[in-house]
Amino acid sequence: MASETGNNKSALIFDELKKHGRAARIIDVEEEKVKLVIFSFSGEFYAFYGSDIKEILPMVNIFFVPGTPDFILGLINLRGDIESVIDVNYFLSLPACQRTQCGRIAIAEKGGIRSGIILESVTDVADVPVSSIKPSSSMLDSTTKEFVTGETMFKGKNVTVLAIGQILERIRG
Amino acid sequence: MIAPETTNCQEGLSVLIFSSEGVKMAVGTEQIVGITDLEQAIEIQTQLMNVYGTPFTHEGGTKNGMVLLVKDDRAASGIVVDRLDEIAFVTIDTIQLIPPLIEATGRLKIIRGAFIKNDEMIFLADLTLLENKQHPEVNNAPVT
Repeated sequence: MASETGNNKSALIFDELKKHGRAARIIDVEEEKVKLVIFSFSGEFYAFYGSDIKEILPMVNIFFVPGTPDFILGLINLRGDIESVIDVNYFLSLPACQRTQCGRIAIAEKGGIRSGIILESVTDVADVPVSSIKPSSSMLDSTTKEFVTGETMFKGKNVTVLAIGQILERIRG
Repeated sequence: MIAPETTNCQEGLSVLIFSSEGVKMAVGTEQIVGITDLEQAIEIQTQLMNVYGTPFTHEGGTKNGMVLLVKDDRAASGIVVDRLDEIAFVTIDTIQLIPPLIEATGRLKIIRGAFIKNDEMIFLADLTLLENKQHPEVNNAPVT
């Protein structure tokens, strides 16, 4: 009898463990994640979807192109190829991005348009649950809102996720 | 050993590289009908403009600079540049089109491409596209 109870208890424990294990595995599979390239500007965090960023380069010499608007910073030599570099701050109603040695240039490509984007610093490249990206708050002005896909939290800080495709489309016209 | 015909097949462009307002540019030598200095160009009353198409007026300032004489439909016009650098031959495979965002937003339509030479970006210009932005009344005024 005692042995039966012991067997039953073990079986119950094993059943419970299996359920927990299965539940944990189910959560892992179902929790769809997305890669974000998170960068900061003036203490605020912003991000691009990692799928839209092809590579991140250290700061290089940017050659000024005469007759271009302020948000076009110029051209860079990327291993013999020529890429444009833009400052997205213009579209977010933010002050122009400062070029520093610790800055980066992210090469973005979306909708067949490709360009470098100047960043003051890259904070992290992180996988975040898709469900954690919420619609952007109504505090953003209508111009900026057009270029924002949502907001998420990263290390306790709010991160504004930007729609780089919208920005590139707007520039191309 | 490279066969002579292989070398001949390497298409390219002979360009004059110059500097204008801190920017290095190049133009196909076939577009240039002459080169003179600014002082002489003023004396012969050549219609002068800079690479932006803005009319050049001396107005007692410095006469430093060089003038590229470009043949257009009407007459030879002079493009004032700061300095002539060199004549070089660039192969077609080194010339790249201007990226689409620059092409879409750039107001300087003469820039058609770019190439890299000694780690420097050089803009390839088509000076025949240059429009003189002079007003009609300014057009008739003598260059002072």
